[in-house]
Amino acid sequence: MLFGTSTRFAFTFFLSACAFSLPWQLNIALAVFIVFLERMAKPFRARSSNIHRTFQRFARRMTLLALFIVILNAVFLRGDGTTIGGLPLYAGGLEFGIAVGTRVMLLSLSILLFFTSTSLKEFSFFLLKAGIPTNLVTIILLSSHFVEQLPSKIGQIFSAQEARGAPVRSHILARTRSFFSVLSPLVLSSLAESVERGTALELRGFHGQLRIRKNDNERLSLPGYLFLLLGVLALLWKVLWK
Amino acid sequence: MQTLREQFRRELSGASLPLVAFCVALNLLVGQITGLLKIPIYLDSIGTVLAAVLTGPWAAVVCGGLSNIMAAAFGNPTMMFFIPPMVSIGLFAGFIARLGWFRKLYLCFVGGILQGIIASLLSAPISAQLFSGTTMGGADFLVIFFRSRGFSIFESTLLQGLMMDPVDKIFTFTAVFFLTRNLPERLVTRFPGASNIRSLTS
Repeated sequence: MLFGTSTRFAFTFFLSACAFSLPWQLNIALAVFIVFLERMAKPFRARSSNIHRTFQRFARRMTLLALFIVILNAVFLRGDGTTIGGLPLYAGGLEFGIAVGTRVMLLSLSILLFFTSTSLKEFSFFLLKAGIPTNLVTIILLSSHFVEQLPSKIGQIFSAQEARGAPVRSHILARTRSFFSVLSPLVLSSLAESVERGTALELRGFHGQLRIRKNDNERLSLPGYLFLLLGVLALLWKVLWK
Repeated sequence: MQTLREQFRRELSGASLPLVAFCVALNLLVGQITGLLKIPIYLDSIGTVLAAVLTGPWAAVVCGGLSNIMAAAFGNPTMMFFIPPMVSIGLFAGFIARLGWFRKLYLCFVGGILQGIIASLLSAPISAQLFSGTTMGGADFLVIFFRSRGFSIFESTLLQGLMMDPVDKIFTFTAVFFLTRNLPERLVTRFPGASNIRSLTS
């Protein structure tokens, strides 16, 4: 497969390397390219419309935050003074803010592009092939299950404690004490669940020793090698040029 | 004396495996609880410290590392680069738990301060070198404030870390102390770090 998980991972590495080594104008162009890729290119498309919306929302939020950081730096970081639209802004701070804001934006979008186009199952399989032990991959899969399950559990416990008269909407000290009345039952029930799950895993013969055999279906493709090479070159260029 | 491999195997088997997974999820979701209660603290390493106390330092290292990878997958990509401070939290909390620091409240307090200093020392160079002090978080205001006072990027990120991390870690360590103190013994004994907790020794 030309753009399998490993190639997409190499592409993410390449984009991250670009974020650190290219000027901000190119970083902006690459960030726009990522948004375009997520929308148009099949291998990079989000796995569901919900994830697509999350990606779009994140891209908008990052753009706003980057703008905010640029303005803050331009206002507070002293350097050569200049006036833009009647506002006292510093040119040095503005330049610094743009460089940092676009770098973080490209970096965040490139990593998110990988995760929105890769399911946790695919990611786990990719990790197994890379030689990561089975028990670590199992933890990733189990924690994704917990992440799905816990929010509703937290909501239930919160409502139950509120119904019992816990001061969840009182002053800050009382609310801090209430933190334990929400967290304790959550931890207790999850520990009990962990013991049950652990026993079930042991009974099924799971000892975290399994290793997947490397097969040839998902090797790093030629574009993958190219992205890795370009990424390394970009970083080397940045280090040597600096 | 157990080898490192044996310690890893011991800390990541049986009930510890789902526990570490829960702790990873707790790191990611504790913000939901503090958000519901409107408490202005992060506590985003509470799962790592809980794993360190109940299982051991190596499981906590795994928990910390995976938490940041999962956080990146769930929409906070800059967390990928802050794995070293999170790993240090797991290691430090695990080792002081073995020394019995989680049996006394004041030792948890001291541990929290030390951990905060270590975490800020490790995260400051990453934040300064990779992101020039800007990680798109609420703490960026402090970094910009220090920079406007004439401090360098590294000094600003370090000062910001030293101001915020110890407070957060004191809360985290104290929270784990109270949480583990009240756990039933029959449940705790199923985990390798059972002897780290006060309820078993007093």
